[in-house]
Amino acid sequence: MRFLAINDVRRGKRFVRAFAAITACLLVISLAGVCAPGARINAEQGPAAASLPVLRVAAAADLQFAMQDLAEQFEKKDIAKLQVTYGSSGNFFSQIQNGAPFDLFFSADLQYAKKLDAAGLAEPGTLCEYAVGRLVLWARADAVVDVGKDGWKALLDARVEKIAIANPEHAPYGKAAVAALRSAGIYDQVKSKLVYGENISQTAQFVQSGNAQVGLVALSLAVSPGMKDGKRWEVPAGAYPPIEQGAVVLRSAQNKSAARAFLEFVQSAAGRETLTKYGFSFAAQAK
Amino acid sequence: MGHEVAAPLLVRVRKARESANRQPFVLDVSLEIPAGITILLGPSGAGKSTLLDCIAGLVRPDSGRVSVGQELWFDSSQRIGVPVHQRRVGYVFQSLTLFPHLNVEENIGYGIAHLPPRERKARIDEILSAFRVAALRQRKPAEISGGEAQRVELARSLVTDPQVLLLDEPMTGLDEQLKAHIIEDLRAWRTARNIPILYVTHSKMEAQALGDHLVMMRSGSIVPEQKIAHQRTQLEQ
Amino acid sequence: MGPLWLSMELAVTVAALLLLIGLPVAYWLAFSKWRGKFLLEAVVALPLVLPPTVLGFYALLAMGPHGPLGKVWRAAFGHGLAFTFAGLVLASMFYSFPFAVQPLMSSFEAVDRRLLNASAVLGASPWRTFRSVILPLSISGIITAIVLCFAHTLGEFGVVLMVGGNLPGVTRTASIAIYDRVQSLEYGEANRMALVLLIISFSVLSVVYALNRHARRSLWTPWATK
Repeated sequence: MRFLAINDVRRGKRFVRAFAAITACLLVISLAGVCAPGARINAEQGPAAASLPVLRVAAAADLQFAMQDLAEQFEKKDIAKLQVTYGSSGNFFSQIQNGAPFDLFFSADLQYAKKLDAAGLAEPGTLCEYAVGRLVLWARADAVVDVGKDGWKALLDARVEKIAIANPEHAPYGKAAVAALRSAGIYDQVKSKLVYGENISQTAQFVQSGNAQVGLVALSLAVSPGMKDGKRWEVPAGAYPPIEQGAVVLRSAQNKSAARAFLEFVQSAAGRETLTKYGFSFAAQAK
Repeated sequence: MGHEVAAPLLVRVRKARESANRQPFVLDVSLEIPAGITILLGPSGAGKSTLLDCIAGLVRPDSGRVSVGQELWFDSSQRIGVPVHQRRVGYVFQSLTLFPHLNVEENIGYGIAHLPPRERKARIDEILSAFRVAALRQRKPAEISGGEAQRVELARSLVTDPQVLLLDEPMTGLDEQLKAHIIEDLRAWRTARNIPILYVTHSKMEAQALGDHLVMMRSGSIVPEQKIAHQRTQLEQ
Repeated sequence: MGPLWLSMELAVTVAALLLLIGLPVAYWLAFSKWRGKFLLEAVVALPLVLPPTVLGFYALLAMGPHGPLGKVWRAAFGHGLAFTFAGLVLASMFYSFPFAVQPLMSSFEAVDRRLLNASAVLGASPWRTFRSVILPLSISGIITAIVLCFAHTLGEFGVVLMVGGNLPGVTRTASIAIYDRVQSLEYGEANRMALVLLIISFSVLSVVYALNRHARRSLWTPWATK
């Protein structure tokens, strides 16, 4: 027992010294990181870009691919750089109300944008409807049912155990999905098979991974590289209220002119052409 | 419950270890321990505890053979190594190892749990009174004194009726009167059961009071006879 | 079945199952002498550093029709694993695994090795030593493991979000329900649920820690030397 005690003490001292050394290194590294962030960002952007403002965009989940395309095109104009965050519109709405530092908000639901405008959190005159979303029925290429051929009937197939939709309580595509199912008269029959994604992106994930056999997802996601090889069926536009997608420039924007410029670009002919490529359509009249 | 034929303990082991100051240390002994109490004397670091651990099976020797009478407990050439819990060995450790969550009676009964309840109770009662700790049976180790705990520890090892008994300085920290009591108990017990007992101590008093035989160790080996005779004389002075 | 009740049920189930699985794993980690042990320790600790959404994502893939878990489950039960309570339990078990194993392992390692030697010498097999010496002396660690798993699962969000599918009564746990309320701008309701969850969790934890104190006190021995 005495032998053990001496060895333990020796090992203990060495351990403490090593631990202190590692902790000291970590502290130095993190302090360096904290004190010199500016240097890092500048290095990333390159010398010319050091003067360009950065626009922070909150974008709805269904804009995942369309927004990237739009951002690339806009950045070529050298007006600003874009930093986009994707998520659920409802989430962004709450965050922005509580001071989240975004410059632009592209919602999948016009109502959220309207509410922000009414609350005085948007730049006056920037509220607009930039696109109308489309709902599709989607399944993997190796799925048991062919939604392209059977449309709604596919949902009634016994082999379809789970149908993914976005959460109708707060996601626009979810509300649309429920409305479409009701107008097709099959909502009550398939209700027990429904599973709810937090946003339309997650909904797509459920179907893409095969855990849900079929899903009602955004066309803009269904045409993306990862999903375009699946089977899809466009839900007739009359079956659900149009998914009006609205945007605003936020009051808290740091570079308002650049932000407005981007919003204008999105609504321009070039912007609309891009959006059409991703399955969006447009209201007959702009709001 | 005694053993009619005394079965000697034959130990031949070699074990390489590191001592406290990283010195390589080789335990290399060959012993025959007859029935009765054999005192194992030696300075710290001589390897006495390691030897006891090898006999008990807590440490696996690098090579050698350990047997008690007809039972072979360890043989490196035949790759035989009986696990600790299957050797009927009693081992009283240097520091107290009573189970803190069990009371005295449960501690003592731990090693004989496989016996039928009546016999188990009888043995426990017998040894409780033999060691004069009957009054403590319901108490937890936290509630008894160091000296009492030592007696309980001894009782716990002896109640299992082992073939070999190992004691590693079992009376450290006890006062003289207590030691005398326990020595009496141990002697009485030894007379009743004729088994090899290996008793490690520094104390001349204990060695004289208990020892039927004497073995000295130094630096991992046994010190030969002539030197012991010389030591013995020293002890008696 | 309300979301709060569902959360409690999930937490209790996960804690119980993790205790069952955690005991042998912790035992092996505490007492094995294998040189590569540190690798397994790192694997066990992985869920601590992985974001829950990453875990949830891989769980989703694993539960899919081509994933290892999904295939086995479907073969055994004829339907999918994702979007079921069982799926949540499994995913949560991965997520809280280190919270079971680490306290247990610490407790086992803290048991005085000499007591284990004494037990073996007295004739107890390794299984009996585990039952009669290690376990009783590790009550503190066992309680900690149960509490941590329970609390961790109760508050779980990311993993449940990824594999749950938000089905009321099946996978809509309290954390998801509260989040839903916030998303729907029903802040009052969200607050109410959050408060109830907080009160329940606090009460459960207080009771358990009170029991823990009592268990530890009764084992202290004044003369025991280390």
